[in-house]
Order: sequence, then structure tokens, then C-alpha cells
Amino acid sequence: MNKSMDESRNAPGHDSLPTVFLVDDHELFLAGVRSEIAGAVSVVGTASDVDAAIELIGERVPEVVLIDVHMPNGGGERVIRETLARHPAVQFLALSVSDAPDDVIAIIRVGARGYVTKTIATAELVDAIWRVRAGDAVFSPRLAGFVLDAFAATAPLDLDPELDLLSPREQEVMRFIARGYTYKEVARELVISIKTVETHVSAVLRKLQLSNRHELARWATQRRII
Amino acid sequence: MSRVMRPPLLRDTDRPMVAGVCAGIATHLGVRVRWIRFGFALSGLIGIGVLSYAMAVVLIDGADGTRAPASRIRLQSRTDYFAAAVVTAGTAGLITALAPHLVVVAAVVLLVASLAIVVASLAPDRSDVDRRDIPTWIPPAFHDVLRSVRGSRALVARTAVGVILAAIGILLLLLQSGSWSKLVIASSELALVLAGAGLAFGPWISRLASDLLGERRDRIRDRERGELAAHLHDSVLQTLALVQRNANDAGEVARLARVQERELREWLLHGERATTRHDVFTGAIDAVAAELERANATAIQVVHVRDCPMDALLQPLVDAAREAMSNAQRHAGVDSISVYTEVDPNEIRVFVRDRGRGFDPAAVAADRGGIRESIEGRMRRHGGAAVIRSELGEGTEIELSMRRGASR
Repeated sequence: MNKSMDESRNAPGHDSLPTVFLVDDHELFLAGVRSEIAGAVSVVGTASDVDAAIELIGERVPEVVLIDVHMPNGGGERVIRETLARHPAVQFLALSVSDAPDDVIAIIRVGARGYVTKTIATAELVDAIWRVRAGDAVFSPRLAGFVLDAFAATAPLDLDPELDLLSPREQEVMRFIARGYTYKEVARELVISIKTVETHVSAVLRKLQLSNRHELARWATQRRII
Repeated sequence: MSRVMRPPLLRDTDRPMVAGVCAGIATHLGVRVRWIRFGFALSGLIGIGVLSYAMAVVLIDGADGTRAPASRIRLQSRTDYFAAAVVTAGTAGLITALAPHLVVVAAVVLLVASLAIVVASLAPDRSDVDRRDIPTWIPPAFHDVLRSVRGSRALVARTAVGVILAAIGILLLLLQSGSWSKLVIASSELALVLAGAGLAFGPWISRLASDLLGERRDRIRDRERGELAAHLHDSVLQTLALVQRNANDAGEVARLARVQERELREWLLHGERATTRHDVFTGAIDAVAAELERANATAIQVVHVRDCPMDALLQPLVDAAREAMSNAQRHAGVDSISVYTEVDPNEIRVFVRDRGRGFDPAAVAADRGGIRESIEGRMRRHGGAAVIRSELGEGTEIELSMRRGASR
């Protein structure tokens, strides 16, 4: 973990600490995360409701926003939608206690670059922030599981192979992530570079966001019995 | 203009003659009750008084706190009272004028009643229809139609009753008139009365209907809240109490929190059905993981892809997976291990992985009977396979696979 974090940090153009904005309606959690990641990233602000978040993010334009999915008044989805409309360069990483497929896939589809649960270890969270800042995608094992579930469903007739199917390689990468492998470990197993793993994961993220399969979440929820 | 502060208009339930309307009005207006009673009695002779009194009983709350049947209609301003009075007087006048046509009146009442029923049942409320009820083979385009039909079997019945009532009314009307000219006159009368009644009572009826629906929604919400409260009380509050008692034991606190998290998550995702998932393979694996997590502080993160029905032939696979998880918990020396299951049409695979201290698989021949017997042996005997990859300091992954159909 720490090694791959160092690698992201050494990527060209990204040697400064990422500027991070935190949005969560639980003040206690906000304070906890803030103090945990304080040294490894630069926290430029926090907000505990949707409207304040949209305003402050627009003002401070951080590189990465850690965003809670469930909030009154539109939730993380609204913050992402309204911010990306004006500041498309801001990257969002969803951080939630819920890992219900509907929530996960909905937040990815409005533009989040990744999804992790709140029980994530601090080092892994910091790693995920660096990764998202670099424009890569962050998949938790469970999200990888959802993707495999949703994209393996019987293909619709008006299928677009570019968006509605995973390539064999992408499936392999997703399977490793679902098994709990880090990107570095996946790269070693498949004898490819970490950069290639990142490319595959980003491609899957793009498919997840653009797929015509409107019922992705439902497919992932109703785990098919075969 | 200075406003005189009057006591609120309430039915005086302490000194009623009938329902305390007159006494209440007298108190409110500050006049002697006998004048009010005299007025009602006099107008009662031509019907208006009786109807007004009835309206008052329906509309005005009792002084002892009893709510009037139509208390949701708040008479707040002078205009409201004036409107109520006009409606009452108008209705009474209409009825008096139509008294010779009793059958017509009956038909009108029937029609209005059935219309009211239909309007009330058409009000949009499908909050109680379970969306997930719809079988997956039905194309999504038809879901809305299906939902509305399903959610309203009662609506169909009520509409049918309403139509029948209306038909009877029209039939009565025809029977009574006998000739076309009379029918035309009667129909125009009917139309006038309907229009009047619609204007007077339409908004009231729809408001009443929406209030009733709102109340039902509130009731459902209350019941759900009650269930949630009961569940939280049984589970989360118990765990929080245990956490406080074990505050000095960090490992135990983490274990309790994790067990509670898993249980609550399961409950939120699957609701009451959480207990009935033993008939599927992933349910069996989840149950094992939950049980091992309760016994040992190591967290087990489980990810499933696809599922299949659980049967006795898969039990050895679940047992071997349990052994692998339990081994990792005991020997790897890590906080958490990952479990991944994947069901394919031909094969089921389970991966149990940890980033712990690892071992040399070749060197454990004799002393680690757990792996040799409980995992490799068991899988082989039941037509499956176990592959163990481990490196010192890198962790261990045990891959279990079983062909579907092969062991059948």
C-alpha cells in the first residue's frame, strides 16, 4: 500500500500534497477523518450540508472532494452534479457507510471517480485520494463485485460492445480487486505495469458511467441465481 | 376598525340541548342562548335550520376536546363561516325545492356519493405498493401500468360499485319520468343540481380524501419507525452497552462494532428477508463469515458475484471455506481477510486471502492437518480442488473450486 502511494506521489506534476475538501453531514466523522488524513493531504475546507458544500467547493476549487453519499437536500449526487457543471476538473471520491449497489452505482454515474466505505483504513484512504487526484479510479472490492455482477447479466439486444461489456482483461482485473488485491498486487499477478492496471480500472469506470444499461444497480442488487 | 376578541367557537358540551351548538354559538357571539335556539327552531320548520344544525355538529369541535368529524376543514376567517352558511342554506333550499322529486333527489345523492368514491380512490397514492414485487421477465416499460393496476384492486372494485350506483340512479330517473320531455326537464334539473353540488362540495371532498390519504401515510410511517426502533433497541443499543462495558479492550470493541455493523447492514439491505437466505450459496458463506467474526476479532470482508441455490453437495465447499477463513484468522496475524466467491454455470470458486505472515506450503505437510485434511482432502473427496498459494511475509490465498454437476 505505502509503496504504491509513494509511486503516485512521484508521478510528474503531482509532487505537492493534494488539496482536499471534506463533505459529510456527521460533524464527528468529519472531524475524525480530517485529523486522520491531515498530514498526508492538505485539507482546504469542510462542509456539513449540501448547499454550503456547493458554495465552498466553488470558491476553493480543491483537487479532490471526499463526499458522503447520504445527506439531506439532494445528497452527494447533487453536490457532484452542480460542481462538475462549473468545475469539471474537481475529482470526487465517495465515502459512505452504505455499500448498497444502488447508492454506489448512482454516485459513480453522476461522476465520482471512486467509492470507498467509511471503515477503510487511513493509509488506504490517503492512497485512494492520491490516486483519484491523478485522475485514476478507485474501486473497493465490493464495487468490483457489483461491476462483475452487473456486467455479466444477460446482454440486452441493443448492446453497445464498447460500453456494455467488459473485456476479458478488465474482467480479470475486476476479479482480482474483488478478491482484495491492491493495484500493485494485480499488476504483479498479471505481469503488467500499475499504470496498465489503472488504465483498465478507469476504462471500467467509464463503462459504469456511460453504459446504456440503465438498470445496472438493479442487476447488481438482485444477485442472479444460476 | 377595532376587533372584538371573542371566545373561540366550540360546541358547548356542558349545557347541551342536543349537541351544544346553540350554546356554543351563544357563547361565541355573546348573546343569550335562547335567541339562538329560537332562530334554529324557526328556520328548522322549513328545513334550513335542521341542516344548518347538522352542518355545525359536523364542522365545529367540542369544548371538551372532542374533534368534529370534519374538523380538518378549518373555519378560520369570516369568509369561511360565510361560505359555510351559504353552502348550507343553498343545499337546504335545493332540497326543499326538489322535495316533490324525491326520486330525483335520491338519484342525485347516489350519483354524488359514487362520484365521491371514485374521486377519492383516484387520488394518487401508491406508496404502499412494493416496487420490487414485479417479476423480472416483464419489460420495464410495463412496470408502471402493472404497478398501478396491482396497487389498486380495491380501486377497481370501488369504481365498479360507483358505476353500478350511478346506473341505478339513472334507471330510477328514467322510470320516474316516463316521457322524453319530462326526462329532458329532469335531466336539466339533475345537471343543475350536480353542477351546484360539485361546486359546493368538490373541493371539500377532494381535500377530505387527500387528508385521509395523508393520515394513512403517516400511520404507515409511524409503524415503520416503530419497527426500526424495536430493531435498533434489540441490536444496536445492546451492542453500544457492551462496547461501554468493554471500553478498555480495543480488540473486543472493534469486534463488537464489526459484528453489529454486519448485522445492521444485512438488515438494511435485505430487511426481514435477511433470515431466509440460508437457501442460497452466498447466504451459507455469509453465515459462516458472520459466525467466525463473532468468535474472533479478525474482520472478514466478503464479496460475492452471482449465486446459486444451496444444496447438500455444496456443503463440503462451505466447510472447506470455513476452515480456510478460520485458519487465516488464527495464523495470519492480520486485522482483516478477504473472501471472494464466484458462481459460474459450470463451476463455483471461493478465494480466501490474507496479507499475513504466510507460510511455506511444502513445509506444513505433517503438522498442519487443518490444511491437508480439512481443506485439500475434503475438496478432493467431493470432486473439487484446493490450491494454496503462500509466501512468507506476503500472505496466503486459498482457492477452492468445485465443478457444478460433476459431483451430482
